[in-house]
Amino acid sequence: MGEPIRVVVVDDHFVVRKGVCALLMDAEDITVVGEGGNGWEAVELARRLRPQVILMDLKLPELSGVEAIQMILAEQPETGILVLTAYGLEAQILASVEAGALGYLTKTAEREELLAAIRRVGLGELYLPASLTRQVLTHLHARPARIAPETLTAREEEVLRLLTRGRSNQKIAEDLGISEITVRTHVSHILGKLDASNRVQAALYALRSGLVLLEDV
Amino acid sequence: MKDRATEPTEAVEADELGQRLAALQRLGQETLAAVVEEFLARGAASLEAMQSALASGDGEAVADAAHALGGSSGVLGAGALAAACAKLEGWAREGDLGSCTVRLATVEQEYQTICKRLAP
Repeated sequence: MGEPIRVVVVDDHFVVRKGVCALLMDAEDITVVGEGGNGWEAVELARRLRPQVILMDLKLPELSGVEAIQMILAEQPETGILVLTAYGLEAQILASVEAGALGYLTKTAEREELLAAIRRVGLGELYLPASLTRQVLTHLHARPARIAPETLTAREEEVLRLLTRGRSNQKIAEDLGISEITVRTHVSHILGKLDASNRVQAALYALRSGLVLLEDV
Repeated sequence: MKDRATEPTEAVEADELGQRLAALQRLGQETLAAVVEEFLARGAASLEAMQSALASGDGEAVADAAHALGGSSGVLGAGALAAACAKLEGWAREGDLGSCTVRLATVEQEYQTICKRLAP
């Protein structure tokens, strides 16, 4: 097993922070390296500890979760943001995904689901519940593409189509009959050509440009 | 009556809460005690805030207080309380304060159930 996934937990409620830490304690491949109680602390912890994943509440004092996500990803675009919030706040959840969050879970999520989400987001992959995926894509699809990318190769377009449908690198490799390392290389090239900081932004480009139809997601 | 499709049964609820408390205990007895104390204090404050906001017709404040209690209870494995808070929050944000009044009684009842488990 490689190095454990380094996680920071950000929530203004002590009960939530400790509850999440307790859930993660026995996972050998995950380690909590820091805890923060507001958006500014999230930014500072990200800067100082360089976690792979930040579990982020959205209703935070002083600096909102969405604002903190924007600041963190502007400095460290490789950080995986997993939003962990209570029910509701759809508008904020959509804003967080648009800001670059890779995943979303409710605080009622079971331990195994939380662990799975952290592992996916730690790999830079998406983790959105099916119930929210269509809502997010519908919302974001309505907006025009803002970027003028370099031309993607046919293979890169294939990878981007699968990525937009939520496939992991492993699944894309299986679908296309290529190695996972090759998929990673394609994804890296796609992100570079689209000037996208993560897979969400690349997927949004695919939808906005018509490369992938919402009906096919 | 509970919506069995979305709310956990009492047996599952108690088991989940017990597992989460046991996990917290492994972080240390002091941590567990602090979490319980904070949950009870914040929970009581959230309920008071909901009652007060409902009386003054402030739906957003009702929703915010329900959101806070729902988040803490969800992480603690108190699924029925979290679900009751979620419904209350949804109605409050929609401005349906009549339904909120009925749902608040359920939230209070579920909260008392959790209190008995946490501080018997």
